[in-house]
Amino acid sequence: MPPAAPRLRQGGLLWWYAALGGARLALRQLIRSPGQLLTLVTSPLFALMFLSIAVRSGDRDLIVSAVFAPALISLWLLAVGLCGGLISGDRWTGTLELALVAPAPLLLSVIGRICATFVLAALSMVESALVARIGFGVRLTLHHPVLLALTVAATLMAMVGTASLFSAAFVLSRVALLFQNAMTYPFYILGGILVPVGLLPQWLRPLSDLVFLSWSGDLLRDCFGDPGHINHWPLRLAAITALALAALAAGAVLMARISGRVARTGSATLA
Amino acid sequence: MTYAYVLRRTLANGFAELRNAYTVRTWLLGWMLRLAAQVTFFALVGRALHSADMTRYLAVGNAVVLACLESTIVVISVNDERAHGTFSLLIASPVGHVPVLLARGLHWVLTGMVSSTVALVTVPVLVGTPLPWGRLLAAIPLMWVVSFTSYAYGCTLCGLVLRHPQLDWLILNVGYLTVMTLGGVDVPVSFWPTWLSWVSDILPVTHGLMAVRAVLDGGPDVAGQLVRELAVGAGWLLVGVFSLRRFTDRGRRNGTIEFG
Repeated sequence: MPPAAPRLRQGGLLWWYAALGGARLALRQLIRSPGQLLTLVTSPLFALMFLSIAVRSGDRDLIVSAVFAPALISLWLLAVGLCGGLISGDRWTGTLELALVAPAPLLLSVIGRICATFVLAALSMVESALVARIGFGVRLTLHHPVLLALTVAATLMAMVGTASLFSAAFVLSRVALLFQNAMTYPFYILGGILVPVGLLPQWLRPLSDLVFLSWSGDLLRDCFGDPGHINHWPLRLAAITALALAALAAGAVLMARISGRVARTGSATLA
Repeated sequence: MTYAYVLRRTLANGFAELRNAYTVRTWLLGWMLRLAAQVTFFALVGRALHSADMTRYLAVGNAVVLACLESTIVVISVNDERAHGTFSLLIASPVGHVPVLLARGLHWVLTGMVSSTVALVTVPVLVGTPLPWGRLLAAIPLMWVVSFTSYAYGCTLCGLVLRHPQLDWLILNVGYLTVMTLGGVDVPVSFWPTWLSWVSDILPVTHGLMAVRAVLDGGPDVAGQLVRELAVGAGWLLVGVFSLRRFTDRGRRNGTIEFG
């Protein structure tokens, strides 16, 4: 008697399984590929570097920024580097073909994989806090826990949106590594990771507003730095969410176009 | 004569690789802009603290360390060489593999010299702490020395990467970030506990950067720091050569040259 055909999952459940499957795959790849854990190794070094400058200066605001900067850098590096190369990587290993003919949209499994890598950014935050505490005796006090939770959630959304956009955009590029390299420090400046965006020339500020790191970083620092009322926090939170949704929508459109194009031209795999 | 030939051909190979990766436009607008942004990122911390001295300290330190960053990319070039499967041919060649591998990333030394020079000339002006031209011109050759001593350090890292090829980017990043952290780039070496300052002493950049700062500030002991930097570079080169020889000796015994 032939085995029963597996029952196809439908609708929302199918979407959920696709995202969960993507997350499981990403976690297994992280565990088995030590090279992908780069951010966990570099974060403490960035923390040492930033905190040494901040502690030497004695500036309290800079010290708070120095604790968060390595985690924000990890977040950006993961979005641009590791997650940005997901589809290109699938194309090289020949698994993109299978993903394209699977019943669930490609975007969902990619989102699942991106969410899983967020674990690394969270761990790098812990590392940075430990370096601050053990290495420099710096202890931060959390003044706004609810706002912190909301900011982290919105930031995760923004990371997912940005990473899915990069993931799709880099497939089209022959020089993705060049872009990945180039999109680091210019964006750390625009994102106000270590120094306030207010120091930038006026003409650069609108660009800075388009980088979710600038909003996320400011809010994260305020949660720990300012015990009083935080100005315009709903608006700032909405800005992160809007940027997340815009990037996600652009990523979805681009990914749908790429899926159609590689299926049409028979170029889904380069392996 | 043979070594000169190897050097010439390996350099040509390196530049061909570079041309394949970059056009002049992508190198300028992608890579060079990113490096200048890196130096500016750190120099802006000084501006945030309203300290011209700090701004200048960070701008100079981070411009000089670019020479190290680029020189250590030799790690990736040597790892690629292994991935291409040419090791067994190199070992069987009359000159042997060591001269080729030691020259394999020399093009990065040259691009590092250009990048760090451009950054040292432009970023201090950009952040409002221009350096005096006369002293700047005297400091640039010292920075080029740092490129070579850092390259020797990179050759030692190659020994590690050949044993753990899957960790190439990790070893490269940890290698140069350690120098950036402890080499007196952002804070003076004296900021760190004594045992860490001992580590700083044997890293490339530390003494070369002190010499550069001494020239720019009109400080003493330029020659002493330069000699120390050269000694550190020679030390790393010896360790690198030893490490590359050990790797191939072991590979020949085990038959693992191609696949490690």
